[in-house]
Amino acid sequence: MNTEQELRSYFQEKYSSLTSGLNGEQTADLSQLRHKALDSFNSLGFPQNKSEEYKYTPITKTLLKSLRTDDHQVMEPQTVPPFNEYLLPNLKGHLVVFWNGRLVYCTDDLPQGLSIEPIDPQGNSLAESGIGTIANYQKDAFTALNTALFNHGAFIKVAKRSVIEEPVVLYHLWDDRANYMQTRHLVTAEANSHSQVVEIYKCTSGTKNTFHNSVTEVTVGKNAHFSYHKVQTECGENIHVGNTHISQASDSTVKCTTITTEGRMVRNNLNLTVDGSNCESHMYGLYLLHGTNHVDNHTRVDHRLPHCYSNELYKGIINDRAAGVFNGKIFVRQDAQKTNAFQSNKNLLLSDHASMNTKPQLEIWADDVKCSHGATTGQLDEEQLFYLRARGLDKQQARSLLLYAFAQETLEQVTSPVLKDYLDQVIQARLIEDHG
Amino acid sequence: MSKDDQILEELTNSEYKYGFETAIDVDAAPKGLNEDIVRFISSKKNEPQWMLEWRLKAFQKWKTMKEPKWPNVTYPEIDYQDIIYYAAPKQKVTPNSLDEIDPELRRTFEKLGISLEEQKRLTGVAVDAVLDSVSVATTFKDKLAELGIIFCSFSEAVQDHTELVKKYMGSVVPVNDNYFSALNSAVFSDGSFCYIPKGVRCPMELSTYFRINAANTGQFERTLIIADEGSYVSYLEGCTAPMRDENQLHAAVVEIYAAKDAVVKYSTVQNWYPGNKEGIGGIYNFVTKRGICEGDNSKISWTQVETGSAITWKYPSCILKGDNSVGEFYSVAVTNNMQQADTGTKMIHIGKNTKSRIVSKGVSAGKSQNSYRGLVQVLPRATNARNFSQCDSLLMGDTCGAHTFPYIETANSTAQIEHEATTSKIGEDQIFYCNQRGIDTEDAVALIVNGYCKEVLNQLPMEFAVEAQKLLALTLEGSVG
Repeated sequence: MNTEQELRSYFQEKYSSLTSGLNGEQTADLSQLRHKALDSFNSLGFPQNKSEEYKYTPITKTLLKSLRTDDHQVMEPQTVPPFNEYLLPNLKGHLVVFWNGRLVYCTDDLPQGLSIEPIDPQGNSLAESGIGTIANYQKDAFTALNTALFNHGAFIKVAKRSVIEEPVVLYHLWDDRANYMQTRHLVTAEANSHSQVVEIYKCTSGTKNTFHNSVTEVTVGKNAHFSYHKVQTECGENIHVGNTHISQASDSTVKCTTITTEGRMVRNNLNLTVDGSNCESHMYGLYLLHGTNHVDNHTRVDHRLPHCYSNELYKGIINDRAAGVFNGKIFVRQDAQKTNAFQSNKNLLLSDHASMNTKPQLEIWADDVKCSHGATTGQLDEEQLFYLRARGLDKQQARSLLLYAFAQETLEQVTSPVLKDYLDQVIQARLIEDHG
Repeated sequence: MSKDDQILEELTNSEYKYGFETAIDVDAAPKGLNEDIVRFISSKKNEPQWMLEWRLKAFQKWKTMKEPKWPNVTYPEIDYQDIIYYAAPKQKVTPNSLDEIDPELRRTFEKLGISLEEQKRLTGVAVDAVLDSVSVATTFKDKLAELGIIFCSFSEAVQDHTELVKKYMGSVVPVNDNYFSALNSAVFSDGSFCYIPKGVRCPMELSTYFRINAANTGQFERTLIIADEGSYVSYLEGCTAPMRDENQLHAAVVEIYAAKDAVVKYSTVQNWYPGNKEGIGGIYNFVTKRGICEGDNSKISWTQVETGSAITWKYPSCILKGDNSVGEFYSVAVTNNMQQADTGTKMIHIGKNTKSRIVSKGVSAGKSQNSYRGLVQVLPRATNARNFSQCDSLLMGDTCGAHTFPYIETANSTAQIEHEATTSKIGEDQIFYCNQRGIDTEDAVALIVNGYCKEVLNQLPMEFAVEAQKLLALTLEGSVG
């Protein structure tokens, strides 16, 4: 058990060793940014129990309990085992692999129009990336912490009018040696481009607690199509705070899916700023929890200009002693007339000790809009179960089938067929494991 | 100017109808709040020692608490030392019959449309009227007493029904529940008390009418309703205040206790002075209302029509403790000009097979902000809990805001929770349809809003439903075009 002071000094020490390790080699802009972010983190502090944004997710308590503050080896170079066996076999794409938070592989076989540059602590590749402009480190402690401390990541750039067929796949793998990881990715999808990014999180071995604090910043240009999939399937005892900030220009389309099936405590913040008119934004989420998993999805869509459409569907199946949290915010500013914004959150509670806290939230300052939200929490329909059992399925089969169908609605939104197949298998295996 | 135009002009500029002030001598405490004021109020009311101690304890507690900042409203800091905590119409003796009441006072209530005598004779509604801080008249007392129903002012109850007050006061809304309930507990001056004995169905609507009259005063009343086993009561509450440039504070506490099989229906038409078009003046309505369904199969139903107040901040709630108990919340909240409302409900499911239903309709116009904030909580023991919530918002004009903050916490796998919310404006096609049939835009809006609120208005007792419909139209006047 740490005290909060110990936790703060742990990160302070990380900052000092990072800056001294760089010997002033980082660019002036970046060093200033890191400094400001650290100040902002110090004044924000870790979210307290009463914090509205972390009301149902006691992240600070969990970190105090579990983060190993005496571990100083993380920054040291480590030997990397062959990682190929942990990759999804058929998933074609442009690979970037991180092991214990460090970049270990970055493909150089790139099609025209796509560039992937590794981000290093010096920030050499970041000169014109606009890092920190979309991810606001003044409001969120974890974004601030990441901005102050990030050392590895990928800077993905899709040039104007390029259509990139295969996704960029970012693998985050870790083992027992990991403790605190922080990755930072930047994506710039320029005007009229088509691209997709997949982030996969996977624990390769071990049962130790790890803490991953990641930030992904995405700029989507005019009339660009961008999709983003986040997959957290084998995350063991990982504590994860992920902030994804997306900014959309006019006529662009963004689609995000977030699929979580494991994690000790997972908090995904998905922030969409719709800074153009005629935009489309789709957000889908699925969380399939068991054991003592705790998964918290926060989404925020900020409509600032007229004629936009956003649609959101998050579904959860919660078993055992797991806890699910959902908070969806839709803001429609005064100028965002003719906005259509829809949000839906549906949950199934399968055990008496499972819990679900949901808060679908609308804040609207424009009058000519159509906005709605809905939330349900309940069980499988007895009549549907009966229908299936009357046709010869046993209770377990009937339940699994209905649960599978429930999950399908969001799973269908995953654009890559290989990834979809993989997720399909994970979900089926889970349903068999939990429901026989 | 043609006659039609004139009528229209008058209508759109019509101001708060109840904004007159009555010239009655008041007996008031000095401004400010300290232990002596608490003692002063207590001695004025001739209260027993235990009551004074209760107040002092609450005052101590209040001093340690901070004003809540989480509601979605903004207002300048309230100076709690700049408020008069006690003001009573000067009267020499306690009136035995209505004839003994100050004629000026009676005229006030007549202007408000609550002619105490008329009410008594014609409508058959028992009224307890509270002016500033003191209950001035209660009608139909004797007739109710025949059935064993106690309906009187709170201070009378403290004197005459000590055991009941001692047992139930603070049992639903504890003193330290929140900042304003603690303040109320320390300085409450009067209010209504109602007890319905076992198995009695109250034959008439009970009603309380609140009026703030004197300047610089706050009104802190307390209502306690106890419905014993198998009883039924329908209770109405109305309120108005004169127009003043400064803001006045109203911090009330309402507690409802429902025993086994009891049914309590509580309706409010809140029409405190909302301030002028620039948002100057108006009442701060910071109220704590809560009911507990203690016994099995009991039911509490809240209906509210909120049209007044500069700021409304209240959440009539139900604690569904008894098995099979039912909680209902029907609300229409209309805000215009610079009004702000943050209102909603809490449904806390504790017992088995408990059910709750929430229907909330918000209408915002002008530059107002209207928020729905609600909590549906299902505790682990509450098997087969069922909730349905619907909160719709209607926006009129592009300078107002509508916000929804629903919290849904489920910790039982047999619970079924549904929540839905929509936000939109009145369709131009609907207005056009009405215009085409000779209904002008103003009336069309009133018609459409009334239809939109029908589900809630239907829950009101008949006398109130008529008043509420008129109020809705009045509040929204001038908000179109």
